[in-house]
Amino acid sequence: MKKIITIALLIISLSAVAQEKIPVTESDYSNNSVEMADTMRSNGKIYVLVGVIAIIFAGITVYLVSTDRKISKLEKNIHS
Amino acid sequence: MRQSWWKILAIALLLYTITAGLLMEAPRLPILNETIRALHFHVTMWFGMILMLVVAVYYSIMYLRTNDLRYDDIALEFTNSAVLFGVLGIVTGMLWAKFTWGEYWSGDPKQNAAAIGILMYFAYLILRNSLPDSQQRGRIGAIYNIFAFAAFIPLIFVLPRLTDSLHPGNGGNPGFNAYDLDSRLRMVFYPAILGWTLLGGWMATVRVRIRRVERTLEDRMLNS
Repeated sequence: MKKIITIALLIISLSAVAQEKIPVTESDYSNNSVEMADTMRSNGKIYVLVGVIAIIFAGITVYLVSTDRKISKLEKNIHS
Repeated sequence: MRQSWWKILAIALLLYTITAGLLMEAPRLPILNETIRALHFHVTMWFGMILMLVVAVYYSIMYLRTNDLRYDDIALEFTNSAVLFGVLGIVTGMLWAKFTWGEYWSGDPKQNAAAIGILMYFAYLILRNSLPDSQQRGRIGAIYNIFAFAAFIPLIFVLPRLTDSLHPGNGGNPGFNAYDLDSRLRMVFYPAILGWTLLGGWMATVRVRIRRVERTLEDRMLNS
């Protein structure tokens, strides 16, 4: 029990070691001097990009699922 | 599809990663700009790689204890998936580095260490293929795999931190360390790690099952 508590306290204190970190604050979210893809967002085109990537991901997923099904069928045939 | 709940979870988490990762508000930071979103794609590759390597090491140990070749299949295929993720991690890292550090490859300690790590695993795959006997291949492969993992972790996590590096979190460079603390990025980052790891695990298990079918067929041919 004592060991567990010591380990837990050590893990908690790990965050205290990382003092050099610069935290991201709310002002970083509203800092308009840094250029971001705002035009893309206001024109709505970012959704096109999200769609494109989602379609590609869907295609890969369908392919993986069909491979999975094929091997399931093989397994059933071979063990029967 | 066998045991499909975690596969569905993987798909759902990755769809969430893609949409939320690209659309959610991100901190506006100089130099990084929108590339900060690569956190959900580049960094997660390495997390996924490490997690799959842990699985591979576990099954390598299991193989050494039991001499059951089925454990060796799992160890090998999880390493294969992990190596794929590692290669993708290095390539995406190079692209990201070009636009934030200025060069695809600047000989940075983190980049060099990651490259050495990947090469160690290439050597593992080549070593395995050079051994014809399956038990010998399994045993030497398992021992190599355990030692490779033991060298890989300090290579990519410890050594780059002891020197100056451009990569965030190394050599007193606070960089991305800061984003660990940002709860909004974390809301996508953690699900992304789980999603990518599950996808890698899925690919590995499909290939493990192919190997098992192959082995059953081989045994049948030898017996008939």
